[in-house]
Amino acid sequence: MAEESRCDAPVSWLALERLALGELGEEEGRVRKHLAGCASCRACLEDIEAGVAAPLPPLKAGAVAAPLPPLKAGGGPRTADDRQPTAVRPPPLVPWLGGGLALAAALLVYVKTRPDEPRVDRTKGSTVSITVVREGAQGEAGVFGPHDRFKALVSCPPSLVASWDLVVFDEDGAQFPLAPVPKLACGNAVPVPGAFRLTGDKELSVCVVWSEDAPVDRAMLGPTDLVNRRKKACERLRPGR
Amino acid sequence: MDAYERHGRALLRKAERLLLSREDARDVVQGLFLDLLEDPTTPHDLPFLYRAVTHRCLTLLRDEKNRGRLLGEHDATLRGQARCARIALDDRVLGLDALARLVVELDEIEGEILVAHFFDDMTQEEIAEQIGLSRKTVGKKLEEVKARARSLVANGEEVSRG
Repeated sequence: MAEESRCDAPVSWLALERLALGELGEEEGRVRKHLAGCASCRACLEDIEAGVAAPLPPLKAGAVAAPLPPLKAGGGPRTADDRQPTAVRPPPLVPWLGGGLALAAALLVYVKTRPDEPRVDRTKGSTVSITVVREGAQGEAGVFGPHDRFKALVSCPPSLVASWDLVVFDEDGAQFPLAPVPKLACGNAVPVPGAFRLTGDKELSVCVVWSEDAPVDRAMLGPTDLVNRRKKACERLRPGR
Repeated sequence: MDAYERHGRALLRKAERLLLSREDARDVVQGLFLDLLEDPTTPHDLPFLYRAVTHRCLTLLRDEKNRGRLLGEHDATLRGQARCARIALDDRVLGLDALARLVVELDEIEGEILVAHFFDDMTQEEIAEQIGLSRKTVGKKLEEVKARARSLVANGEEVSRG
């Protein structure tokens, strides 16, 4: 019914980051061509672009936990552009700043470990959505064919910490085309690892199911009445002609 | 600092992929830029800073105390990132624990090749250009790194199916 895959020759993260920054230069054409046919890399670029507006932690002295020893130069010949990154010691902390940080850390530990602190990351089903996208070739939305490969993109609040599974429901029951996902870094259109195919001649539902308390129990996902009580987000697809 | 504003997020993403810890990733990146502030002659381009983050993360992992802490406290939510960074070896996937054990056995260049190939998804040509070695040498060193990883697997290190 389905199979998992990775992009065979992915564009490097560095190239994707530089593309997002608009500094890739003459490589851009090659990378864009690859992206047009590779949903996996495209999803990575979207991930990067989604984080562009994210707030950056302020650059402050005292943020470094432990000083790092200087780097040793590596072996091998060097090019003119090969500048071994240096590891200079961070500037010394202002003495009173260290005490202040220690106090702040102690308060943080206290806040994080309060036993009666209610969990705030409980999520209602409506806040999670799934989008099923076709890999590579263009095709009609909401339709699957025998040669189509799909990826599932999940949008979920960053505060949601859960285990995940992808389930395909048809009239025969539930099927699991991908490996369970113990954790997903929630955000906008986060790809579920792996790709899958859909077969059959009946309409079906591709769902993402999650559990905040324990790993998703596949044994509980078969009968529809049990599934309906689970947290899930689905998209319906119909077979092409 | 302009370079921090421009490249900070990319470097944080990279450090998080490697260390599976937001706090340690932040410390690594902040430490790097604080050092850059002290030495403004150091290059600020992303490929250079990417390498610098690799070296700093590996240095953290080589330190026994930090290694133990990272393995004990890693943020599992970071495993679910897009095109999840991992050491995919044959039909197995090695986790942070295996990476931590591997880097102890590798020298600077081998460690950098390991990260560039498995975590940054660079081709051998890209790695060769970045490090300043021939592609053939990179390929040879990469095979040596994989052999070490296989040896870890053979010795019973924990792995999961890919």
